[in-house]
Amino acid sequence: MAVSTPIYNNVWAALSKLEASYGAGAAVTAGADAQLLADRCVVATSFNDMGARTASAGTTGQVPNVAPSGKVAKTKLTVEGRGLGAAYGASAFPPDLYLWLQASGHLATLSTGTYVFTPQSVPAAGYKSAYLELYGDGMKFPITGALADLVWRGEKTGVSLFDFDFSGIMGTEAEAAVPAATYLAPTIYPPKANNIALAIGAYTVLRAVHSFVFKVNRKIAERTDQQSGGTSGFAFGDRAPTLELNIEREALGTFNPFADRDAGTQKAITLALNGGSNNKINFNAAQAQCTKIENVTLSDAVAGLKLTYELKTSSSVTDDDYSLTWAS
Amino acid sequence: MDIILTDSTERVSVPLEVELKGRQAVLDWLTAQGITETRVVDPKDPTQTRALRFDYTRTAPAPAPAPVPDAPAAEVAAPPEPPAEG
Repeated sequence: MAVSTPIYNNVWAALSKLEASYGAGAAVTAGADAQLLADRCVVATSFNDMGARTASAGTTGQVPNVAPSGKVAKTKLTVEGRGLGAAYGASAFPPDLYLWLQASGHLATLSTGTYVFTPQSVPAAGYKSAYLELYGDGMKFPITGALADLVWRGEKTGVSLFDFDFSGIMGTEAEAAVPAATYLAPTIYPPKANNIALAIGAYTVLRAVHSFVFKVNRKIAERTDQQSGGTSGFAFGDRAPTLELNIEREALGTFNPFADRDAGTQKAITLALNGGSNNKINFNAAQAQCTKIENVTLSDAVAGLKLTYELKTSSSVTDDDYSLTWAS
Repeated sequence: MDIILTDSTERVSVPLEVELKGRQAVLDWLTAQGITETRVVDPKDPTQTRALRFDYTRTAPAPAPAPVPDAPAAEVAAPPEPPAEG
């Protein structure tokens, strides 16, 4: 009996570049533009109108659709939080997320061997967008005008991960093998979340930290268009960043988030992962307000707190609610 | 990408179209702006292939902006209307 050869889906790749203008796409190569994904990429394609027509007059069935329009894609791309392992410079970037942090509404600033990413509010030169060329399932998925929301999470003591929830304009799927990609600094291992440094205000957390999740919560709205094939892509809206911490409870005399919550106290939070020279990720939020506390059980028997901090700006005209730094 | 110069608080924005052309294009653009990138080499690195950090300093003034085309000659003010007789 003849058997068929399967098409495998356990290899994948992402090639990406920033676009010179929104939706313009970009020419990418496997040698220069590959971003190392930590997980398989799955593309969910949808249309903003499927071409459905009004009800059929003489039957209880449905008449055929007109062709759909407004083809858009959503995909979650996950990369490891790691550094370059060599000094940062104008030609030496943090690997895998340098472009996508910019395409998620952040300004990249290089200052004396350190890359700092800060959130943007309607920049004069426009938000940056990414062209994604994703490979998986034996296919190629080209996506233009891709904008992302961002999550950074460290669960248990493992490697921290950055999730980029991209929305973009979907091109035409094609049959394609995964290209032989060249990745930036593939031999540099990411720092693990097993010796993070966490401080909330004047309190340096000395109890066990079980997990952290930082979410930008940036709104990404679709621009339906009666021209341009039904969609003009996406636009950034407001952000509402939060940091969730699962930590073992400290004596209230030492650290009292309940009092902070009740008083609306602003605290500076710093969280640092250290993987050695030029492999450090520092998170900073200077005006964090605890808005939600859940008493939870950690490790079966230990009193824990699930703290939700909302990260605020210091004024109505400054983008200083948080920053992410790839330090030397 | 923005670059903050090491010896001042001056912030220089690298245009996106330059950044898209790649690493050498960024370095060439910085040089054209009179900005030098200096590697501070790790003394513990015997091969000196790695730098502890990069410093950015302005070693020449920024190039003058492109000349603006001659402005049209100011219009000559029209002589005042003679007062209406009456």
